[in-house]
Amino acid sequence: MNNEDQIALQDYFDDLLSEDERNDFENILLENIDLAIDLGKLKDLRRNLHNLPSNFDPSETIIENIFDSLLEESEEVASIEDESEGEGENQNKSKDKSKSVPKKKREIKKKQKVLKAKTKFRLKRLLIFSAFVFFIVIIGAGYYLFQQQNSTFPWKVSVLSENVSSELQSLVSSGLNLDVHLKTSGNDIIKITIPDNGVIELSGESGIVITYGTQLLNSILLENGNLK
Amino acid sequence: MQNDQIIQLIKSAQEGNKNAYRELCNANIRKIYNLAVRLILNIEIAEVLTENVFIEAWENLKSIREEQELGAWLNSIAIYKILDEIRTNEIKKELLKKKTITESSFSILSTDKFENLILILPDRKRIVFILHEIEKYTYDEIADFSDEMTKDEIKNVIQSTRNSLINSPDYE
Repeated sequence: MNNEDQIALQDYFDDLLSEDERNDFENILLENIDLAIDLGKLKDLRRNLHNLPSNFDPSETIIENIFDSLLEESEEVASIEDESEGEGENQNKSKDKSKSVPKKKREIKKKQKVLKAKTKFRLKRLLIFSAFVFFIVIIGAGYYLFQQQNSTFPWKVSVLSENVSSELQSLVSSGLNLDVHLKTSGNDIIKITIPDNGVIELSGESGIVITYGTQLLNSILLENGNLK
Repeated sequence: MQNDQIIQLIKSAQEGNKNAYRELCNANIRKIYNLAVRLILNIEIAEVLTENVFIEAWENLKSIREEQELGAWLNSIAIYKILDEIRTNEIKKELLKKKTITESSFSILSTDKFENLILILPDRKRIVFILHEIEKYTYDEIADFSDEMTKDEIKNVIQSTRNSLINSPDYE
């Protein structure tokens, strides 16, 4: 059998010949028994290949690994969904979310870097929020301390007259603070000492309200009476 | 498994039923795994590839058309993934790095004498022969996959491999 016949045989077997070429080759086959035997061998080979059993046994762990991966993936997707909800997406976005989940799944599957980036983003956001809260607390505490240092309260009350009401007596021990209404009557004479800022004296039928008390500014509202 | 039963399982799996998908996996895993073993000649890489095929299939299950046969669809995913691995050696490099495999673990023998004749073929011959003769890919399709071989070269390789198999003393 020559090489040309062999090539023609293989092409015939692969169904690569035109109709005319196939008819010609079938006529040759009728006369050439060796070629017909070789064609039979090729058909046998194809049958054997077609019937080739799957001889390798897959390990049972393959299936378990597949479903472990699918489970992990669905948990990751669920966490992304939770995160999206937490970020307060509007309703329309929520409706679109179901469509975007498979896309997210593919992203997770292909690159865990995406998740790492999300974790980084969350940590960064938490850090910024913590720094902001810390800054606010520091500012608040600073302001409170400044106010404490700056305040002239309590103003000291001294009684200059012989008798005063019990209400005034209690102010002598506690001192005057912001918004206190102070009233004197009859022969009452009291001295109010504002630390580092001076002294005022109140007598007779008088009334004041303490409205402000800092190192820079101290103020009262005189309701009635005598003030020195 | 009956065709109606398969269609029902596919529909159920498409709706997210993992138990249905498990049944489909069980029914098809052997064929995909054997294809990977024959083409890669390494059990560990074949296992990873098989897992990857079924994970990707789950993710894309909704894209399977009604008239499409699941086995053929899975096969096409597997072929794509296996050829990608042959090109990039990504899984191989990872497993070598983890020392799960060694360079010498790339040979495998079957219990079937005829199958062994195919498995001992040189890599390039074995791959194109399996793709054409067992997986029924055409010369043109194999040429599209291959960056290294033309259609005529592929045809010559397959035709000469047929002759060498038929004339092998171990071929009955």
